[in-house]
Amino acid sequence: MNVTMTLNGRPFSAETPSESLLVDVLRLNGFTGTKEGCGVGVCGACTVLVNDVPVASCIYLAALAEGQDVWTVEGLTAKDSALLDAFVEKEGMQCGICTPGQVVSAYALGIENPKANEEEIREFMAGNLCRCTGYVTITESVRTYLASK
Amino acid sequence: MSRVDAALKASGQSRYVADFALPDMAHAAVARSAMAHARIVSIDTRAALASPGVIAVFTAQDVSPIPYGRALIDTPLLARDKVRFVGERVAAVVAATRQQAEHAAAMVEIDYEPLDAVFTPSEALAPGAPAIHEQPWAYKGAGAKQGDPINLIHRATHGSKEEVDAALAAAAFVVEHHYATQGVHQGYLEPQACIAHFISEDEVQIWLTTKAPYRVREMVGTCVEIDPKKIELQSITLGGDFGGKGSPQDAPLCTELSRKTGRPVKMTLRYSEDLTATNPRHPAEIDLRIGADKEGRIVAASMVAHLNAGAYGAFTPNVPAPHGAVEIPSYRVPLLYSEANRVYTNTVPRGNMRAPGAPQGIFALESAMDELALVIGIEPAELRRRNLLVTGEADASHVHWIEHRGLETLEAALAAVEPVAAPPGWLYGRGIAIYSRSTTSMASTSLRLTPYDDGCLRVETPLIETGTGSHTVLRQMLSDQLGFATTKIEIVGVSTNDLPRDAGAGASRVTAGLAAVVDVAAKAWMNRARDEAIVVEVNEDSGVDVGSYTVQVAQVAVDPGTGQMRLLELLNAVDVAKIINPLAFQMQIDGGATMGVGFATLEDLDEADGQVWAANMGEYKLPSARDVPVYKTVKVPGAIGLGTANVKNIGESTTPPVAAAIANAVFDATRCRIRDLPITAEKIYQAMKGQQ
Repeated sequence: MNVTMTLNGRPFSAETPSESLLVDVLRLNGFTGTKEGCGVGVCGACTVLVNDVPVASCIYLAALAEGQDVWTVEGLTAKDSALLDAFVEKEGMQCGICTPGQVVSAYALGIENPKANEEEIREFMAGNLCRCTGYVTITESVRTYLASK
Repeated sequence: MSRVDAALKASGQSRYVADFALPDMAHAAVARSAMAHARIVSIDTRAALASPGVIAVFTAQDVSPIPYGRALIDTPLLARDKVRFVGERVAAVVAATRQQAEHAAAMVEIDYEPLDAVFTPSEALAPGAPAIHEQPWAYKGAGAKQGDPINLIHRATHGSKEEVDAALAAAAFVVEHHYATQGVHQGYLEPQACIAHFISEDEVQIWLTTKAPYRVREMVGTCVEIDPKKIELQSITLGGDFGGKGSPQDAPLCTELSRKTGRPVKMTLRYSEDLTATNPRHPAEIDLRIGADKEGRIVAASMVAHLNAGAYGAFTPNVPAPHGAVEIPSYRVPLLYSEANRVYTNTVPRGNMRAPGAPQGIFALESAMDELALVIGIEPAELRRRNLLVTGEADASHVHWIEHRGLETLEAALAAVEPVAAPPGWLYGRGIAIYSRSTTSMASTSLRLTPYDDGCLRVETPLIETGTGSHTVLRQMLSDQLGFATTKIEIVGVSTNDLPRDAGAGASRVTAGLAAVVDVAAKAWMNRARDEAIVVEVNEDSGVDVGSYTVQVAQVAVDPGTGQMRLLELLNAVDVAKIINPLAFQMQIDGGATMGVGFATLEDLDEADGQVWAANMGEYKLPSARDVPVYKTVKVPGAIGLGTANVKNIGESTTPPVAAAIANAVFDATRCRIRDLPITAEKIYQAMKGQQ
């Protein structure tokens, strides 16, 4: 099967088995910023944007992305420097494996509710697990990013 | 100046093992046992071999017969003759793609003859229990002897049971209770992964999700009979460890698969495999007796732990010293009897997880301290005040720490805590718990410093960045000692071939070890010949351990109608010396406490009948941003740290006391005592109902 989409603002197409998951198509084509953690759509490490909506690419068939506008951490941080700056400045990471997903979700929150308060940030980001930080610096990073908008 | 790797991590540029691919690389997946204990009658690999993309299928007789492990060498690469837990590797498939390997692995047909199985230490130690290993005493590194109970891995006892029994019989107040903790997983979000490239008997390259490459190199070499010096472990950023990635994982197997197929072989676990078949924390059963005199001073204690070690004992060091699960590190205990039993069962093998043993033991001990205070009729804080060690006293294991700052830390915590309002109609409670942990002065690592023409410094380190910020801390210490701006220092992780040694990240000793090697580096740097690179190493024990106290205060609200508990605030008062990187330090405090919150209230592998039922992250619940309380931190400065850097441990300090702090707070709110983890709404509700 051939799947064609707009990826990080550019045309992208790949030949892949029809049962492929979006996370695998991305990663096998060099977009390894998107991580696979739990593999069941719970931890959020594989979060990407499809038409501005965050999805768990580990349970999202690549075929569903046909013709869609897909953004990964690589594209979003290149497009919006405030996003990268916020996570760097507030150190919203430790081991970094969940960070791409956190960054993508932060961007999505910026679209959906840029005025989100602490509770709304935590509610929105609850789908992105982190085992290292205790969430304080990640929440700070998200708040800093939203404030930049 | 942020972390050395912050921008790379936040932009998705950091590369982890799963992100690497080698030319001509094949992929492996394993067929795992569906039985807890069974004889393997036959393995039919024909369908798997015929499956698309499959290169080869291997069973036990095709790979090295030498088991592997850390101290106890008891784990086979693939199950030989019998399986000992659900999830054990039985056959390995190598195929062109990961999906093809996984698909074929599911087609390996294994015929079993079931054997009686045992799932808990009490079942495993019962007379007539089936032998999980026929001759456990015969393994290299075995702690058990012939004649011991057949499934006993190791029993460590300290002190005299008779003396303690007599002292408790004469004590004015005694409490005696049984506490139990569940199986939990390290919960790193990066599944274990390995790439092994066997080039020749003289050259093997390995990319592994490990925090201890030099140790793994030795263990792999011994297992597959290759000189460890010929094995190169690459330095790769680690996506979380927490104790779960100190063992060889699938590196020995992948090395064999690469040797047999002539191709680089990659194996990345699915997270369900991490949950069901790696090395999570030991569930523990702890029987604790503590006695005090009329003034509330402890006279004796007996602490007996049975740790469910699972089917193999290879993933923990066999330490003869008191196990973390039976340590009483903070209090004056004139007579202590302790016993730690590690027992084989037909369950997933267990390993180390953040402060091994202590989360289980401290839950029991600090819960019991509150129970003792209740029978004496004094405040829990007052009981602790009367019994905390002071500088100059030896602890219950007869160890003298350089100082004891438990009292200062306790008072600082109590002075700082401010009541948080519970929701209307909910019960409010507050609980405290104390933990102290020593930092070993052992330092073993190395560095290479190379000056660049442009005034920058390249620093190579074999230390794996597990996520704690160790590379950032290294840069900062070098900047302080050598006078380079941090922006002029480049930190580069290098392989086991590039530098002589590193002990691996663990035991809260990374910063102290780095400080020791930076000291040596600074001296060598001053005396170097101009423009030359220098290599320095340390491998020494300065002999004086320092301890660090943590006092936690948990505030909870409990809904009397449902038993639902809300953790309103968790205060961490920590006893600190010099802090190199305040934000990295704080994240250890908060992250460690969060892991404690998960252990106390949410996480449970939900084991029954030899199965891990919480076999995916939807069932195995890690705390999310919504589940964590407000954290408050009080630092009690002025402590004596290790070496000239004057640093102390923090990474394992705040996890162990959380469960007891919460259990004590729940008791304060409800007068109900929960002695088995996790503390769920159901348990609180049932306990409150039972009280009426």
